[in-house]
Amino acid sequence: MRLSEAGWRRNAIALAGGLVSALVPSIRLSFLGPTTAGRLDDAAYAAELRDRSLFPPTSMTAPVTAILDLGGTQPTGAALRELVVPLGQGLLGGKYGNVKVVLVAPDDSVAELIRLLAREYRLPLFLARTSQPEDVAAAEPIGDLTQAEHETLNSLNAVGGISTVAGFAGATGLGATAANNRLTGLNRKGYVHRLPRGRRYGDIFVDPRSPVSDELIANAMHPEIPPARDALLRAGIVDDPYARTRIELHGEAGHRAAEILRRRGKVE
Amino acid sequence: MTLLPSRASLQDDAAFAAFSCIAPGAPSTPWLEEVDNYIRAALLRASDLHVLAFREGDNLVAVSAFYESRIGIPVVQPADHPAWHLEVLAVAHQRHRNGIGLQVLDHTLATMQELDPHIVFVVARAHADNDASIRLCAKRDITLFLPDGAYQVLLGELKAA
Repeated sequence: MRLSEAGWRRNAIALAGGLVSALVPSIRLSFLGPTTAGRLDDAAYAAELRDRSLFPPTSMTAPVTAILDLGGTQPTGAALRELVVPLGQGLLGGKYGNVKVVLVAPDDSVAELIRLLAREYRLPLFLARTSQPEDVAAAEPIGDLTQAEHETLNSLNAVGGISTVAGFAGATGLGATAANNRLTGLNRKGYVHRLPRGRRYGDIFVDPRSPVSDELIANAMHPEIPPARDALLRAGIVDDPYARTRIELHGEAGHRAAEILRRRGKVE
Repeated sequence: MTLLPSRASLQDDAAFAAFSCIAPGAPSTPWLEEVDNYIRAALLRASDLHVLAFREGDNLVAVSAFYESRIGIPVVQPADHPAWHLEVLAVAHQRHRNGIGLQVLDHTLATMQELDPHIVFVVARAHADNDASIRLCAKRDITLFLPDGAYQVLLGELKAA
């Protein structure tokens, strides 16, 4: 198993059984290197690959984040164009269902070409250096995004990649209407998932780069209960009480902790 | 009535989904609403938490949860030290002001010691305005150590076994 596959395995386990697959985005990871044996120099083959094996047209509405890793292959310009442009246009037109795409391009020149194509054709894509979860989480949104839309996406990412309109409004200080316009605008352009929920707290907007969290799966199992952090975000509390960040004790705190350790014989 | 603690599992989902520490119509705070939502939907599905359910008869009256974490104390040595992170401690609104909170905390700390007697630290993160939780922890010398945004990191020592 590749490292990146292992990294995404937790999502697959969490989603096993399909119980919540219509309510949380699932992750689909494809590696183009092995599929093409390292060669992608024919536009017709790229089109066939795109439409037959990677992104067959579907009427499914379940949200999917598709990660397409181009590592290990050197596409020609024509093949890359044939792979990326109709794909992005199909995403905008809903041809592939509710799919958001992260393209992974370790090669700088391939990444640059993808960026140029996305900008020229206004394609709603994300671009990452590797398919490791931490790189996907930091993937660059490319295509047709204004400065305000970039900021909105960054703000959504900063609150954990999941929010209701009310939560986003509280966290950012925007009014409810402005927050709604920002998030629905991003959804319309194809950069965020919008997951339908009850009237009580409204739909959830999800940054497709975020790993599917335990909290989101829990919310899908109990859609009548607001998602974790929503009550805090609505009140403007953006600090994450569930953060598993390492605590480091300095100064007086460190000395007090050290004294406890000495008394308990844990250090000299 | 006797408080009966047990390890919680997904089989307790219905009881957890109905749990609330906010009395209907009573004034609330964002952190109380948050803990309600978290307990009702997410707590039993968090992958690495030890979750305890406290019942009186068939009624779920309190909940606690914790996980093992690491803390850095550079003044001693570069290696991190293990600590239990108390993530949730909540008492159902019907049983507020009955001294149950302290019983729940004591049982939770005892469970931590049972699980690993070598761990000496317990940490918790409480909202800076969450006086009830901060006061409760202080009764067992789990006290303010450092601010962390809107929260306070509390730290205490588990008794030697």
